Amino acid sequence: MWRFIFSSLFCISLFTAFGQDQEVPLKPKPVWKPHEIKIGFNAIRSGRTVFGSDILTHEMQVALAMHLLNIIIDLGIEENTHGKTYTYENRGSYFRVGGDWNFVKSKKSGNAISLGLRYARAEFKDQLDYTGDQGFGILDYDFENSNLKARWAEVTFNLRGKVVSNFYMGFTARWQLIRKINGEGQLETFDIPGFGNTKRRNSTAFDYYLMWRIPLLKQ
Amino acid sequence: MKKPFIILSAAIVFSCNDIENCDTNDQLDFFILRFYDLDTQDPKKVAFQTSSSGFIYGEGFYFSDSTAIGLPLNPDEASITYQFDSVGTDVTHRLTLSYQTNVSIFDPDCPPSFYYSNLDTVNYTFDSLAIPGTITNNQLTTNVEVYFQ
Repeated sequence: MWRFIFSSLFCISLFTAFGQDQEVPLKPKPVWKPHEIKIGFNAIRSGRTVFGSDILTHEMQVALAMHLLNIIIDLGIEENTHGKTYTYENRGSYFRVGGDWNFVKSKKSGNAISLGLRYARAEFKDQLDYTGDQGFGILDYDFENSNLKARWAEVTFNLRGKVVSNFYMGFTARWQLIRKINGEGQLETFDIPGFGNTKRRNSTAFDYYLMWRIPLLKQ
Repeated sequence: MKKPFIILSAAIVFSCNDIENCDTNDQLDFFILRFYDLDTQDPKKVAFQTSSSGFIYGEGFYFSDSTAIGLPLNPDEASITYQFDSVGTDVTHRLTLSYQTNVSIFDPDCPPSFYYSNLDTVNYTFDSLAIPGTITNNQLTTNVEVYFQ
């Protein structure tokens, strides 16, 4: 009997001990008010336009920073031409929207090492002109997809570093996932603006950005 | 430490690149027709003069002592009729197939590759027919089997 009473009291005392209030140091509440906006362009894409002969592409990025979250919007255009014995043209536009979580806590620096998610869509058309013999003589074959749509998701790793004053540079490594194309006819599309080659359903990409920072809050 | 890291990074980048060769493309721009004896179900050696509307080889395509033949499909049409005139006899067979044309770019350095899917029969004069492969590619050894006496 004494053993039962002693055990019961011991258990009650344990619960009572856990129920006591502990003093927790107060954490400052995160301020979600936008504190900066960065606007820039994709240097790799613009570089390919300047130095490449078969592609025209540009992309701009807007990043709105709120606490450690960056809301990202990418807008781009792309025109590709391929083929030695034929002409394949692909042209269209795309956008990506998503968010990056910045692991650099200092808002003042504007630097970023972040992981992010994106949803992307492209609207485009493609065309193939080919003259060849498919067993019925040398004939011209024209195939066209006039209303193509594609969508995919991305996981990104981003790095942005201050170069001088409010000028920043940095890269984004992308893992492009679950790509889907709508509107394909006889011609299987070779490129998707903003995504790249369609051979793989999941792909990777690397982009380099030059950005200007506009602080929104007074220091 | 820096040098091995650069070599490793370069190896990863190059290992991710596709190694393309036009010959490794699996897609075929013709279908494979095999002939069988109706009674024994064994492969049958035949001699046919083959023709089709628009066929480039003018009077047709002659083959003999063969149990199978590869025949082109017209990318501009959704169906094709082949006529098989038996050499040395006055027996003639006809086969009309419907299909869907597909064009893809395997590699920008290779010509566009045509292949055909949804192969189906519209009509035929052989005794019996089967379509074990509805798509034309290298993975399949037969698209259409025809059985006749």
